[in-house]
Amino acid sequence: MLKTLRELRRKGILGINARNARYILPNNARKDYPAVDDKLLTKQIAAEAGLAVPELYGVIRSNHEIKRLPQILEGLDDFVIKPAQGSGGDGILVVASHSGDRFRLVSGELMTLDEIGYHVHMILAGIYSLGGQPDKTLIEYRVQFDPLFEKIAYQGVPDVRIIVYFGVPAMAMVRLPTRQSGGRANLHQGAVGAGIDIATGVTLSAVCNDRVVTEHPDTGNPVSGLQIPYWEEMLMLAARSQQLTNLCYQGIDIVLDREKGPLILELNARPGLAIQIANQAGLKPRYDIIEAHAGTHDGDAARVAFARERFRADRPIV
Amino acid sequence: MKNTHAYILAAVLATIGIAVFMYKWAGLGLPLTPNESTQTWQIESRISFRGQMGPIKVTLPIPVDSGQYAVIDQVFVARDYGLSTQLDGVNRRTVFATRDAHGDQTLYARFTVHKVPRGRDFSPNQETVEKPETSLAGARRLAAQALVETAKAKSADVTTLTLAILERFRHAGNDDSVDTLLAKLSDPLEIARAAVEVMHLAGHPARVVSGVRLVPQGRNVNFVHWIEVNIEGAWQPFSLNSDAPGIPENYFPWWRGGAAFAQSSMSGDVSVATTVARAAETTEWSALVPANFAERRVLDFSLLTLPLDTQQVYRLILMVPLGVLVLVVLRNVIGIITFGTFMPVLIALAFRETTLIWGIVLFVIIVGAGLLVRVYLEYLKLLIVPRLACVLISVILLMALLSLLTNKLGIDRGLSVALFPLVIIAMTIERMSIIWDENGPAAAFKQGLGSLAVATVCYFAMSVEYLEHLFFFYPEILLVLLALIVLLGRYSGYRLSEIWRFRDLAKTAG
Repeated sequence: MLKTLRELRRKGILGINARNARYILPNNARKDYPAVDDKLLTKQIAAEAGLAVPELYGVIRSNHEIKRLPQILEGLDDFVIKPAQGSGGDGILVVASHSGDRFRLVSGELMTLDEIGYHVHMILAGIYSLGGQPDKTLIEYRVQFDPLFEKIAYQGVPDVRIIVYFGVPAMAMVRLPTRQSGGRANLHQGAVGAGIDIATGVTLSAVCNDRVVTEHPDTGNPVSGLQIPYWEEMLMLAARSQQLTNLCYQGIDIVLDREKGPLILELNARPGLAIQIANQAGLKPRYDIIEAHAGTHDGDAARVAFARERFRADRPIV
Repeated sequence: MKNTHAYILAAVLATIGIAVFMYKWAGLGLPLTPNESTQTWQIESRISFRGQMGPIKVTLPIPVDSGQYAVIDQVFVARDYGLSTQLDGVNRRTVFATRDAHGDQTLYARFTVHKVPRGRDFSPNQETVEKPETSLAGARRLAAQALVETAKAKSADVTTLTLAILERFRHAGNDDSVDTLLAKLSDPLEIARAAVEVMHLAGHPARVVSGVRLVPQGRNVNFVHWIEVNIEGAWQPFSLNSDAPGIPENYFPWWRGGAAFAQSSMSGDVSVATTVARAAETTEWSALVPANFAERRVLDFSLLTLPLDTQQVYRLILMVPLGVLVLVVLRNVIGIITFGTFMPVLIALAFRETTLIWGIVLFVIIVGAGLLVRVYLEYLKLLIVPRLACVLISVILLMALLSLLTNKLGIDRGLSVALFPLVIIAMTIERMSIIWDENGPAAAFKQGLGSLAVATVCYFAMSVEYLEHLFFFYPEILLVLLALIVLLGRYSGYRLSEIWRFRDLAKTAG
C-alpha cells in the first residue's frame, strides 16, 4: 500500500483533500458559487456573454406555476426537465417524444402529465438540490447529439468535461452514458469517461467505476482514438469560462449538438477527480505549470495555445 | 500563508490547553485517574414546585450516621429561604421557609456520605420502645390476624416470624389475606407500611425505613423502602424482597417512619429528583487545601462545583468532542462515507445508553422498518414536508411498539430504544431512500454500513471511562482536540480510500 501511495504521489495524482484545501478553498470565493450552482444563472450569464447554451423553454419557480406546464410543453416534441441546483445529474427527466397526455422518456418509460407535475413539485421542494433548499425547475432544449458518439453512448447525451485552472484548460474527458448510469453522463453513477489529449482533441483511454477501460461496457466499441469535432472551439469556451464566473478553479461541461455545435451545459465548482484515471495522468503537475506561468498570457487564445503546447499526451508533462 | 496561520492557531490552542492541564496536574495535584478505593457518595435531591402567593414551608428529612455510613457533609441551597431544623419522631427534618414564594421554586439538598470500613451494630437511636399499637381495623385487621396466625405456626422466633410474613407479602396475588391487606397496592412504600402494621398486630415494634441505593452513578433514582423490627432492644433491618434478614450493603437509610420525603404546607405537587454519584474524586478534591487565593479560584471554576445532575450531563457532553475528532479522522483521512455530518456521533451517544449490540440491532430494525414505510409513502406521491413528518411519526410509533414488545418479552434493553435521536433517524431514512432510488441499493447500504461503522468506532472512543474522567477534570484538554481538528482541516494528503480508488493509476507507466 505504501508503494501505491508513493507511486500516486510521484505522478502528482490529486486527492480530494488536496483539491479542496490547496485549489478550491483558496481560489474560489463563496460569493461566486451561485453562478455555477444555479444552472438558470449560469445560462443567463453565458447567454449575456454571447456564448451558446441549450435554449430555455420555461422556468417553474413555485407549486402554483405547475399548472402552466401544459402551456410550456405545447408544441414541444422532446425536451429536458431539470432542477436548477441539482447535483450529479439527479432529478433530470429527458423526454424523447410525446403524444397527448403521454410522455415517453429516453429510457422507454411512459409518464403522464400528472406524474411529470409531481416530479416538478419534488424538484421545487429541493430533494435534488445541494443542501436541500427550495429549487427552480428548468425546461430546456434536448440536445441532439452528434452521430459521432452513437457507437459509444447508451441512451443519454455525452458531454465534454474540461477542468479549467486560472483560465487555462488543464485536463479534459468525454463522458459517455452507460446502462448502469441510466443514461446520465455522471461518472459516479457508472458512466464512462474517456480522456482527451488537450493538444489534439483525440480520445485516449477511459475510466468506468474508477477502473481503466478501453471500450464501452454496453456497446463494446473502443472509445480511444476518436477525434472530438470543434475541439479548438471547445477549448476557447473553456478558456472564457473563468471570466463568466470569477472562479479560478472549475469544470465546464460542453455538449455537442448535431446542428448547433458546442453548447455550454453547465459549470461545476467542484469537478471530480476520476478524470485523472481517464487520462492516466495526475492533475498536480499541470496545475504547477499553470501556476508558474499565471498572468503571462494575453487573452483566451494565448491560454488555449499554451495548454495545447504544454499538455500533450505524446510527451511527458514538464 | 493560510497554513501558517492554522499552524499558529493550533499551536496557541494546544499550548494553552497543555499549560492549564500541567498547572492543575503538577501544580495543584488533581488526580489523573478515577480513584475507586474511597467509598464516598454524593446524594443530591432537587425539589421543585410551583409557589403560590403567601408563606410556604417545605421540610426534608436529614440522614444521620447509620453504623454502615457516616454523613460527612450536608449543603442546602435555597435562595430567599430561611433554614431551620425540627425533630419529627426519630427523624430530623430540615425546614425551608419563606414568607412569599411565587413562580417556579427549586431547592437543593446535597449530602456527602462515607462508608465506614467496619460496620457497627445497628440501632442508631436509643429511644425507648413502647408497646406497639396497630391502626388496622375491620376486614384488613381480620386478614392481618389470619396472616399472623399462619406465620406464627411456621416460625420459632421474631426473626423467622418476620421472614415468614414478608414471604407471604412477596407472593401477593394468590394469597387472599395479603390481597385484602394491600388492596392491590404495588407501591413498595405501601407494602412496607402494611408489613409494619402486621408486625405491630403481632406485638413486635417495627418501622418503615426509606433510603436510596448507593450506585456508582444514577440520575432520578427511586427511593427504596424496607422495615426494621425491634428484637430484644435492637432494630434489625429486613428487606422486602429477600428471604434472609438484613439489607443489601448499598442500601443507605435516610429517614424512618414511612412518611413522604418532602412535605410542604401547600396543596400543589412537589417533584423530587434525586441523583447519586460515587464521589471518590470529590473527597480528594475537597481534601486539597489550596494554599492561596488564586489556586482556590481555579478550583472554584471547576465543573465539580455544578449541581450533581448537571455534572452528569457534562460528563456525557464532554465526550462529544472526542467522538467528533474520531469522525473527522474517519471521514477526511480514511474516507468513509456517512449519512449526515454528525449523525454517527449522535447515534454513538445513544449507543452509550443502549449498549452496542442492542443499539445496532434496534437501529437496524427501526431504519429497516422506516424504509418500508418510506417505500409505501413514495407510492402515495406525498409532498415532501408532510412525507418527512409521516416518516417521523412512523418512527415514533415503531419505537413505542418495540419498547412494548421487548417489555412484554422481558428484555429491558429494548426500552432504551427511546433514547435514539428521533429526527436524525427520520432524516437518515429519507436520505437513505433517496440514495436508494438514485444510485441503487448498493450505494444506500454502503453508506448505511459506513455510518454504523463510524458510530461504532465513535462509541468505543466515547466510552473509555478513563478519558471521561480526564475530560471532566481537565476540560482544557478540549483545546488540544480543537487544535488537532484545526490541523486536520488543513490536511491535504490522500484519503486511505483514494489509494484504493486510484490503484489503476499507480500500476501504469508514466
